[in-house]
Amino acid sequence: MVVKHLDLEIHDGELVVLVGPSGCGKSTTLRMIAGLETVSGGELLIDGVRVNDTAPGDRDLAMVFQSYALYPHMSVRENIAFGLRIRKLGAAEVEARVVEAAAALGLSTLLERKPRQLSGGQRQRVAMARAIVRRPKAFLFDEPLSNLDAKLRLEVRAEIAALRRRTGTTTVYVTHDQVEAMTLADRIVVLDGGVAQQVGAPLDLYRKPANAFVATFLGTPTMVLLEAARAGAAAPPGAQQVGARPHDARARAPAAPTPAEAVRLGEIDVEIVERLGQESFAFGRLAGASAATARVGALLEDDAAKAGARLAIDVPRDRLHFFDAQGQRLG
Amino acid sequence: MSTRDDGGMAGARSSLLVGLASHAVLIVVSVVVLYPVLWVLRMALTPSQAFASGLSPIPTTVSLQNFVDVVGHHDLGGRWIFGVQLYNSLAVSALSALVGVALATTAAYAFSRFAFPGKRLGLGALLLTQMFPGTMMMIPLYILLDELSLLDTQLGLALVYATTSIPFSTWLLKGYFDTIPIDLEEAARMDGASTARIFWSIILPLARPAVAITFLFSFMQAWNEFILAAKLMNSEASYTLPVVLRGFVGDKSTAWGHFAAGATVVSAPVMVLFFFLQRHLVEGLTAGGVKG
Repeated sequence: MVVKHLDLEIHDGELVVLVGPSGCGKSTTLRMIAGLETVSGGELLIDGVRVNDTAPGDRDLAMVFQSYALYPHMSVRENIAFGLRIRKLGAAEVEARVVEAAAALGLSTLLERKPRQLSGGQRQRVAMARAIVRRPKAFLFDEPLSNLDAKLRLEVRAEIAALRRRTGTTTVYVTHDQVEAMTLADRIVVLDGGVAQQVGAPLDLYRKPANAFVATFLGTPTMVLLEAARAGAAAPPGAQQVGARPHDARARAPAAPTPAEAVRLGEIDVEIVERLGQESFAFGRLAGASAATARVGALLEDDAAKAGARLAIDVPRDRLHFFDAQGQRLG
Repeated sequence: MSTRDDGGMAGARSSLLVGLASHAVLIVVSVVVLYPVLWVLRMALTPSQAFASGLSPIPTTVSLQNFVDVVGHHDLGGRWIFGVQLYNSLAVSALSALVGVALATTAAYAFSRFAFPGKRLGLGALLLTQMFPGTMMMIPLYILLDELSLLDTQLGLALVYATTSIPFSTWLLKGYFDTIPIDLEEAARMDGASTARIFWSIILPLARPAVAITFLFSFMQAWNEFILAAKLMNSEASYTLPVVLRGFVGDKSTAWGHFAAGATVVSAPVMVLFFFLQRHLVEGLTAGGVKG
């Protein structure tokens, strides 16, 4: 996991999410900020001061680990207080801060327990209490939700968002889950192969992905890329690929006319219909495409459509994404 | 319905048979293991110096005279020499275990966590020392201790035992340290802890079972060792108990009663130590620290 090139400024009070597939260098980046990994080239500045050679404990950052990394032999109280004790705070100050942090995370009644007596969600909260109690310059989160079940994940995610709002502390958050990234971030950094693919506000990245990687990484269901010729005259010169998000595409009867502002990409034989309640998607391969090409997805206009039906795919012109031969965005 | 009942009965019967069979095996093994011990106890309790013959491990006449003779042994000057020798054994074993464990834990931590040139070579070299029999080191050790004026001293013997136990202890502890998640140390580093603090406050408490085992192992090794002690200690007042035991075995006759009583007395402290340390040996302390 090598980070090749990353030029990033994180502002005070901002929540930046590093997101990307496994092995993209997001955790390495976070660990470099923390000081747990050495920076072999370039500079790392905190508040304008170069910290490349500063020990992790002297950077005034707090980290929440994926494994929580609670000290198993210490009680919750001792776990939270450990960093303060090392910083030689007075006993009364330590106690007051521990009580405050525990209360903020609903741990007040669990202070004497050992980590092994806690549930996963409680351990996660102890890890967060240990971070906030130090009042650091910034929080670093390394995939903090990946060991929780789906329901808890939503709860803790909301808790992290609330915590950050309350403290206003700068936060760097690493995840491989693009939904977490979209919901939590002020700005998202999409990493792939150790290179930042795009940096920006979640909706900017969603609406105007800078390249084919970002386009397909963010958003569910995933955007499918087709040869640009499918878009006909709408394709700008040099376009190699065209993409449309299933949410933007409409699957309707082939006989129905294409609206004026839309482009017909082709027709699919519906293979799968996903009914999510509010909306339904149809997936299928475009007629004339090889079996190797991915299924195209589109919102079903007529909810009664079934697998096996033949439907046309229309996408508004301004919702099409074009990429050149290098995968870079056009227009 | 009835079939199922029969099945249940058959199940209960077969589990009873399994229980009986496993108990039978355990009883036989216990007898095999305990018989020699009981036999030694019989010799110790029989008021005679003859080698016990006969199959029964139960003494016909019971007397504590052998114990009184061995434990109450005084030298010609009227000094309670057994007490001195018991103290020698305790002091040498405890000191060598302490020194050995202190050096082995720090060395093992370095081997487990730090990257440095010669790490593999160092570990290999430690292993290599285990391939030489102790007697091979006798003459060099003798000369070394002589140079240091540590011959016939408890400190000298303790140092010899400590150094010979360090390689094994280091491997043992390194193996355990390797299982402690690195996340815990990184969390402590983020909390501002120094390497020494991490070692002392995080690693050592978590490695308590392994440290206890290592201490016990080093202590027992020193407690039981005979050959080096017999060569490096020259006066009766500096003997350790295994050397004293050897004294009951003569060229022409052997005081079996005294020998058995002595052996019983010598094994008692180790049993006591084991009893107190066993709680730490089984504790799985790392449970619950990281996810799980």
